[in-house]
Amino acid sequence: MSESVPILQLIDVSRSFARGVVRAVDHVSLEVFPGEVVSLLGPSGCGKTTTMRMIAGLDHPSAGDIRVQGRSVVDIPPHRRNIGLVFQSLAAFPHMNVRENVAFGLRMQRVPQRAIGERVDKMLDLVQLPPAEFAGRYPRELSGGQLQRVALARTLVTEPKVVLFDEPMAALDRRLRDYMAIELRNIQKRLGFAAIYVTHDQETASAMSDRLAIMRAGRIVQVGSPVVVYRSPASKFVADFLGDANFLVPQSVDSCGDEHNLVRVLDMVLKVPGERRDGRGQPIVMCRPEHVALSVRPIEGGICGAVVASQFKSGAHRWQVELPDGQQIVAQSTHDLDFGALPDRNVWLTIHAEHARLLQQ
Amino acid sequence: MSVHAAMARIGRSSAPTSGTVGSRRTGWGLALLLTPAGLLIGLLAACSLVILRLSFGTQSAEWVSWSLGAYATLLDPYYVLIIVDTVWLALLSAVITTIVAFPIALYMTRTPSAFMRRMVLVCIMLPMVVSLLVQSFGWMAILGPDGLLNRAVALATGQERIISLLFNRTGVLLGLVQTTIPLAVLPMAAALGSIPIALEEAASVLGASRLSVYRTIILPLAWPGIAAGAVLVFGFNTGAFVVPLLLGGLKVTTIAVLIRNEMGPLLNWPLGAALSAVLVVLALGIQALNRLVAPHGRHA
Repeated sequence: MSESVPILQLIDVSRSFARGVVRAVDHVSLEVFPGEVVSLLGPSGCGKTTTMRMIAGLDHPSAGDIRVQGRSVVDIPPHRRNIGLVFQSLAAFPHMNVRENVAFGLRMQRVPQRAIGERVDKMLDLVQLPPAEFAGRYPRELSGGQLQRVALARTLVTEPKVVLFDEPMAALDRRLRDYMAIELRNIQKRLGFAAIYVTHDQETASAMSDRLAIMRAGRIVQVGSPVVVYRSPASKFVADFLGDANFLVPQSVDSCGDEHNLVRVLDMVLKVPGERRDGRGQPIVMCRPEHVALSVRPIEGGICGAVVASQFKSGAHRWQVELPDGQQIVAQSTHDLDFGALPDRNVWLTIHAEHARLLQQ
Repeated sequence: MSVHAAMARIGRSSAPTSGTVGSRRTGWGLALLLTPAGLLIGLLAACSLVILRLSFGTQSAEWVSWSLGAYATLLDPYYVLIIVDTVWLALLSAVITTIVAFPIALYMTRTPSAFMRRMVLVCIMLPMVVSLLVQSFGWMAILGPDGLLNRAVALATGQERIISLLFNRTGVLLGLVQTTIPLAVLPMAAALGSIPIALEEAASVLGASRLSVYRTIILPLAWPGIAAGAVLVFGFNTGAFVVPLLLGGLKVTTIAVLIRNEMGPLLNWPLGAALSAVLVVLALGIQALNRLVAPHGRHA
């Protein structure tokens, strides 16, 4: 992001299907800078794949412009865009061995045979498929992780400026996916290409992106670094989509003027950041489970609730607490809590107001 | 992929459980089930052997004498030319049918409309439902001297009867191609249908033009199906009888027409039998050819 000139620009891009009845992509604008990884993140059917296909040239925008290095590419066919695309299905050519698969793009660019051999070997080494062992194998002789590497090598060998990833790791198991994500990120940093990673898996997206672009119903609803989007989601949808979130309906909201609001939830009065936008939407308070503290002793300014469920997951306790008015809230802590002496498992609960956010429903 | 594999692939969707039924029945039960087919095939095989025996006889002493006379007669340039011509016509029709069938098969597998796909399939299957005889008469009505085509041309140009496509090789070729299109389209469509679109898209994103995509991805992957169709058409048309007889008007003679003449009006059974033997050997040779043109079974 050090350079200020975007390598890829989406300007007000829309894509309608069925004669304009269905709008899969709705006025999407996005800039991607050299060397940056941006994840297009959203639930299935939100238009992220269509957006990616338009960038690759496999689909045509109904309106708007797509620019690579400042030049419009909407009228350039996919084979002359030099944008890399790693498919969800990986799409390894079954009738070609690993070497032929990886060499395909270079062959199409009419790179001399000798140079092809060298570049393919180098790329296979980079993705940890030693050519001596793997070059002669056919896709059906490879595991999912190895196919992944072939697909990656085949895309990267032509040195595209922008590489699109269409959930290429969806088929892998959790452990392998985490490992590949780290490796992919390392390779990306080494080669320095810009990447758009399309996925509905927010964990992988957060782990490997510089920025997230959250999509919903064809629109980008928020763009920002994983930390910013997680901590300051723009809407209830984003907060819910990215990790776990508690939502509490406040009894009253009063603006303090400094982008903070005094919010009353049950007996608690919290000074919560977040702009109270007038007009549409019910105000709602969002707080992450790790920002809800529990205590077995009464706390001043806290509210009393009953623990209805608890679980221990990934090294942390999670307690589900029912508040007096029936609302439920989840608290998370790495500290143990001794419920032994508690009548009715009643606990006192406080919210770190500075980490909570006032959102529009 | 052999012809059988291609046909099996077509049939797979309609009869997916036939294998499990068969595997449960063993021994006598299976033998009982195979009896009708066995009788039919056995009878046919026996008749074929009788024909083979006939081919080594002499005229009017077919059952008692042994001779290579009939085969010697076949070395006569007249017969050699007809055999070569039959193979040539079959080969030509196989090539043309394959080329004609490819876009049809491609459309069938690529159209997003299920209705259109079904319509094309119905149109493709029609020649298999309608008798060859009826189809040939249909062609005669179109191509004849006073047929639809010539009338249309006469209307358009004002000249009379300028196109003669009936009772010559072109007419026969046209008939051979039209009647065998389903044989070429079906295995081809099966092969094309099994190629994921993502492979084409991947190739095009990697820099392959539309033409290159066909050359490097679609044709190599569909090749087993294409070859299977072509070999089917070739084999089918080496034995063509009705189409050359009706559309060739005795000017185009194929092996099958020759066999009928020798066996029927000329009563030269040994010669007819020898020709039949040649036809069978040709057909078997073509099947062997299939393994040569489509040896890459590794991804099929």
